[in-house]
Amino acid sequence: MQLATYLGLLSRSEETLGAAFDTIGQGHSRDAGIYFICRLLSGQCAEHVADLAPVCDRYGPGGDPERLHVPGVPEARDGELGLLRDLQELHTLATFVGSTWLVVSQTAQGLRDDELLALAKRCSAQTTGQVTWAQSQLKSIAPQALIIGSAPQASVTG
Amino acid sequence: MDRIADIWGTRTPHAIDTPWPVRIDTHLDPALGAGDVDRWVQAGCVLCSNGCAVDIAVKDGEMVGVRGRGVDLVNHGRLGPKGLYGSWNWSRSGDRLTRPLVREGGQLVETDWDTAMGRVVENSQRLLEEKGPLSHGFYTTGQLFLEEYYALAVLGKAGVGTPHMDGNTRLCTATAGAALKETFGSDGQPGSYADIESAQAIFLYGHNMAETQTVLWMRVLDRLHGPDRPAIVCMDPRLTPVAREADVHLAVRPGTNQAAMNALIREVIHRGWVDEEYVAAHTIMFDELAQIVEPYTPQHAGEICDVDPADLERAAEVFGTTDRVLSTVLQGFYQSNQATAASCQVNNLHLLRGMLGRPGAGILQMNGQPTAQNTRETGADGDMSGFRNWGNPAHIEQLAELWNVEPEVIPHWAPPTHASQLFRYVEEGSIEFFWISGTNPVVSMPDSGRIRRALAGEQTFVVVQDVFLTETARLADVVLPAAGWGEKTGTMTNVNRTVHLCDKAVEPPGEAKPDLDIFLDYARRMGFTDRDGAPLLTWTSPEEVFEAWKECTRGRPCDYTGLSYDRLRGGSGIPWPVNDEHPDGTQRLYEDGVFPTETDYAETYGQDLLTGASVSEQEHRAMNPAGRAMLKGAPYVPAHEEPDDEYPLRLTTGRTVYHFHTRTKTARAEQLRKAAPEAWVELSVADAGDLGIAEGDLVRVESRRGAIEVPARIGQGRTGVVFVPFHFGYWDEDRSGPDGRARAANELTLTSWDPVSRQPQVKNASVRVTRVSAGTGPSPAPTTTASAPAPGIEVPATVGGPEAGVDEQVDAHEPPTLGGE
Ligand code: SF4
Repeated sequence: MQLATYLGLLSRSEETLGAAFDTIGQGHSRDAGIYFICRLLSGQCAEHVADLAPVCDRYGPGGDPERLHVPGVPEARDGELGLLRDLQELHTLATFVGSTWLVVSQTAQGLRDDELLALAKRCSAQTTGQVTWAQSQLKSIAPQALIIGSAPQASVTG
Repeated sequence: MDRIADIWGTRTPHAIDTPWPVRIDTHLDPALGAGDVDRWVQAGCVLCSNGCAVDIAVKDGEMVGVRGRGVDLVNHGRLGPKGLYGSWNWSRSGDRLTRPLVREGGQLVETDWDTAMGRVVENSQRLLEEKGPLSHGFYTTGQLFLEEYYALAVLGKAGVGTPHMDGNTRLCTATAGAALKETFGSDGQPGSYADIESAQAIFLYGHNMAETQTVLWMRVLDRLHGPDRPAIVCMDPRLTPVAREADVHLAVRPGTNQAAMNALIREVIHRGWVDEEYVAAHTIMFDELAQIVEPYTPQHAGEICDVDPADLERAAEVFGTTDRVLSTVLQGFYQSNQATAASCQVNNLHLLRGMLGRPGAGILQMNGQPTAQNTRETGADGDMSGFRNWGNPAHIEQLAELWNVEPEVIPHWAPPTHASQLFRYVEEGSIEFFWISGTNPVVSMPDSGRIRRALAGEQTFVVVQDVFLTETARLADVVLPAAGWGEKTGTMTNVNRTVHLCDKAVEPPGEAKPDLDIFLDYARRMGFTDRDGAPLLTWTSPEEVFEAWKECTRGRPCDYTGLSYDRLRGGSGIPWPVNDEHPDGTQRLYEDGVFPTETDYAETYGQDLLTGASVSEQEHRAMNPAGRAMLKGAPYVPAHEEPDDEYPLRLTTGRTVYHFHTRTKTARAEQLRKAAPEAWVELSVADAGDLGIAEGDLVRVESRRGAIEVPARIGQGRTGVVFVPFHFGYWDEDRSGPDGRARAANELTLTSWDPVSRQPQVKNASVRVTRVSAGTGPSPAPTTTASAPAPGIEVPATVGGPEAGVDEQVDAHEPPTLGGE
């Protein structure tokens, strides 16, 4: 059975997503709305990883084929355009995590694993919230970023 | 009577379900007697959101005093200290702005209107051409009139076409609006002040009513002193005058309101106090809410909030076993962590108990500023005019029809830009044309240093329109002199939907003009047109704007169609909706338990309470609320900044009874200025002891953003919590910023906001406090209020003296009733 492999993938993707929230949040800390929500959502990812741990233990070690894993976000990009692009990263990553939960949840149904099913329901609801948040942010800032763009020479720092 | 010393005046106690007696309060220039007054002009007080009706005394073309209107439903003749002393004194002050100013070689110099407006229009037109409407931002206030906001909303949405518009009401009332929208589908105050007469218990959540809305508190006091005293439950970290009267005082750790609220809801559910029939018929999402609150046992929440679990249980019991509870909510929730989520839980408690829409059973989600309600209605806070939904194309179509413009002109692709984001865009130079009217963000917005740098920078052309040269005006490129209250005509709506007319009493000084005239002048010079090429804004008087506004509200929850200037003259203010169905106005909303949540009618599809992410139309439809209220919940999450080793104390900021906002009016009234002349910081006895600080010592309060040095009051607050009043800036010392002598609370606060209402969280920051030097006497904090010194500390009592004399006429006539029946 390959569920263990997918549980491993899920756990690692949650870690990757959590790290991306941290990196991007900190990179855009002048944008307080981004920074604080990223911190909150990164916390959700960490909880998901912790909650998955006993399930992973239960199903034992799975394969860890590198080719399945999703790459993370090494650093945040600068400026309004960079923020827009970074939010797209978060949107993509969270969507991937969401669909991985879907795969796991379907399998849990097949296995009648109620505990995993309940966990998947709770966590994937939060993941959906993360996707929606990224989407809401994209919708709000896209016109400003693309029509006006940032004027870095005039920006205030410190 | 000295109403500085005796803030709430003479008691007129009465029993439950009997009318609140009339008491007419008058204060005139001490040099004048009643016989000297030439005429009295009807208005509403604009020094807080309570909306007391007043008559302005006029002598020789000047305002010389005020008298409460006994015929009015809101105040039954009473006025508070701010209204009595602060309403009119400022108008005669020698430092009024009387001519436009423009920046020349770094200095603001006087000029004429043509030159000033020429610069405004030239910059505006150039930027619209080069960069389009998104280069423009407008930041207004909570202190103009409805007509002025509506004109601004139309010129912003249909003229310029920018989503970048907000009011400083974002800082005072955004959460009230957001919480009502999330629960009931639309803005609109459910309850009425008249519920105080019938309530068996009153819950005040983060609401120091005794200081913020003194007249409303008089109304409560008259019940408390009557034969059948309602129970008072107060949630507030400070020992406020409200807390002193409380049967249960939940002095929660700042930032933990949501945990306490979840515990109250859990208790109501677990102990079987839910009105199941009401919940089944009139709400959705009960199961989700029950699941969310399940972990919040009184013990668990007690630990998070640092309160006795037994007190949470007692509070829940009062709520769960009383038939008529009135709840009020203000800044202790709105400006704190999880503002909207916590405020929604107040709505939820009422829904769970079926306590809405009947006498004594109501909700007052309060406002801070006097006309905050009107920014929400008109859309000067960025919302769509008439409580319309930016996400609903049919609503945008209605506005386009009304204004005769193409729907595409009206920006509606996302929620409007909120204040903090406006300043972020200014800081980045993304907004290059920024117009501030009637507000002083340099003192009122969090992280003042950052706001000053953003406005002082070269990247953005800043227009400031105000009555005085505020800290903010000092940083502008163009300053436009505005007429103030009493110098222009317009309407205003208070917390409980009551609309008042304010007539012009005197001429504005010099070349100062009503804000409405300034906005209309801009629109005319810009040549904004409708889709037929005719001028977009054709109004020439406030009454014409009011008539147009009525059309905008037709069929919406805030229906004004039955009102007119004539109807508002002479008698009481009238609460909306006022239409064919409710010709005399409406005391309470939702008497039938039907809420404006129907997808096609609602003002919003809603947001996620944790992240603020927008709910889509499809998702909303799928929930099928169909007139039922939504029991939205959220888990508790810690505040954005928590104390640590470096900054171990929690800062909370707030108000004092003697000042309004950044004191531009109240500090120009001698009585008020002397009562609270200077900034201070309040420390608990234990913290002061640990830090070696005595009453009156000069101390340094420092956060990651900045520092202030102010005298210490050893007060009665919780250990670990530091309070600084937010009113004090620098204008009265002729500067726009600290210049080495910082005292503004917002030097310390953090840029962060509630994800749903986007209200800045000026009540959450971490600080450290150190002693600088010994003081020369006690701190200047008033002794009559929440800033009273700890027992054993001797400080002279705050008094007003002979200058503060107020005449009180008790039982002058029968109390007014709605519709006069
Ligand atoms: S309670 Fe508010 S509205 Fe009434 S007099 Fe006082 S400041 Fe004015």
